[in-house]
Amino acid sequence: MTDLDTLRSALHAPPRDVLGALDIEQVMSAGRRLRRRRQLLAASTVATATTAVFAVAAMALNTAPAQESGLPTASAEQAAAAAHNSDPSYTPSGEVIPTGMRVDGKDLVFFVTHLPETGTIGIVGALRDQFGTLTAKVITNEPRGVDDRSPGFHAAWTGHREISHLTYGYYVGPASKITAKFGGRTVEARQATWSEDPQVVIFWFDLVEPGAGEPSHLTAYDADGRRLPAGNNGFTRG
Amino acid sequence: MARNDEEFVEFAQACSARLLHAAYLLTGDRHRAEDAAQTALVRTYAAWRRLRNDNPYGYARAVLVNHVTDGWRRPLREHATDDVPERPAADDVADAVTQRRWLIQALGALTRRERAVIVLRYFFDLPETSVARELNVSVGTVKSTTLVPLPSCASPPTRRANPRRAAMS
Repeated sequence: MTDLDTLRSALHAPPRDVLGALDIEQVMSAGRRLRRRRQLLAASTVATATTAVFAVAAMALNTAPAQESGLPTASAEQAAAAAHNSDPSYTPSGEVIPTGMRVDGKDLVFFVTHLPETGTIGIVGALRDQFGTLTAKVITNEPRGVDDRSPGFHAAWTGHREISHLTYGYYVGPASKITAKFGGRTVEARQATWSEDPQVVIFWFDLVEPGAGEPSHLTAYDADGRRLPAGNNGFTRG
Repeated sequence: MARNDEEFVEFAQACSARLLHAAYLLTGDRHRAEDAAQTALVRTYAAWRRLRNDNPYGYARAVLVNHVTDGWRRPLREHATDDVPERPAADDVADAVTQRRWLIQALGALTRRERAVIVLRYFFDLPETSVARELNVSVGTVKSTTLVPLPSCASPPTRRANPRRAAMS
C-alpha cells in the first residue's frame, strides 16, 4: 500500500467515536429563519400591511444627527405608532440609532438585534420612512461560537446594499474614536453606544462614492488617545 | 411535511455524516466541525428550492469549505467543554484509533490551506482544478501542496514548523 493509499484510507475512516450526529430538525428550523431573513433583505420598501416591518418602542423624536465629538448614547426617538413585527429575529433590542444620512428620501438607521441561530448580536442597517416603518437592508454579526462581547472590533462590514457603499460594525470597549483608511486616507467614523450595553459601540462611516478605496487599518482609541485592542478588525466585503 | 422538505431530510440524512467528517478533518476540532457542518446544511436548506435538482451536495461542500476558510480570519476561541479527554489507549489499541490519531496529528502539522487542499483532493476526490477554484488558489499551489509529505504511520508523528516539499509515492 502506497503512502497515498494509506492517506486515503485514513481520511475515509469514519471517526464515529468522536463525532455525534447533526439534528436535522434544528438545521431546517435555522434554515427557515435564514430564508426569511434573505427574503426580508430583498423585499421592496413599500409600506403595506404585507411588508415585513418592525416593532419600534415609543421614544422621544429627535432628528439631530449623531455627534462627532464625545460618546453619545443613541438618542431616544418616538415613533408615530408601533409597527407590526412580522420577523421576531429582527426586533430592535434597545433604541434605534439615527445616522443623519438620508437615502432615497428615508433615514438610514442602525439597530441591534439578537440572533437566536448564532447566539450573537447583529447590527442591522435599515431605512426608516416618515411613518417609522423600518426596512432592513443589511445585517452583520459574528458567527456562532465566537464571543461577540470580547474586547475589540466585531463584524466590520463594507459593501453595497442598495444604499451606496456602506461601511460599519461595532466595537466592544471604551472607544472614543474609531478610524480607518480609505485608499490611504485616514477617516474618522461616526459612532454611538448601544442603549442596552454601553460597552458596545456601533460605528459607521459616511456613505462614500465608489473609487474612495477599500477600507483598512480599522483602529480604536480611548479618551486619552491610546490605542485599544483591535480584536477582529478585518472587513467582510459584501 | 412538504415534498421539498422530505427530499431535504433524505439528502441531509444521506450526507450529513460525511460533511461532519470532512469538517472534522478540516478543523481538527469537534465543536468547530459541528458548527461548520450545521452551517453548511442550514444554508443548503435555505436555498433548497433552487438547489434540489442541481447538485446540492456540491453546494453544501462548497459552503462548508468557505465557512471553514472564512473562519481562518477570525481569532480562535477556546470552548469550555465538559467532554472528557480521550482515554489513553490500552495496550491492544484498535488500528483505526491509532490511524485516526496519526491522521489528525499529521493534518495538524500542516497549514490550514494545506489541510484544506488534502481534504478536498483526497477525501472529496476533487480534481486539482476544482480544488484550486474552491480555495481560490492556483492549480500550481494545489499540485505543490499535494506533494507535502506526511509522517509515516509507523513512526511517532511530530509537528513540523516548516514543511518541506518532497514527492509522495
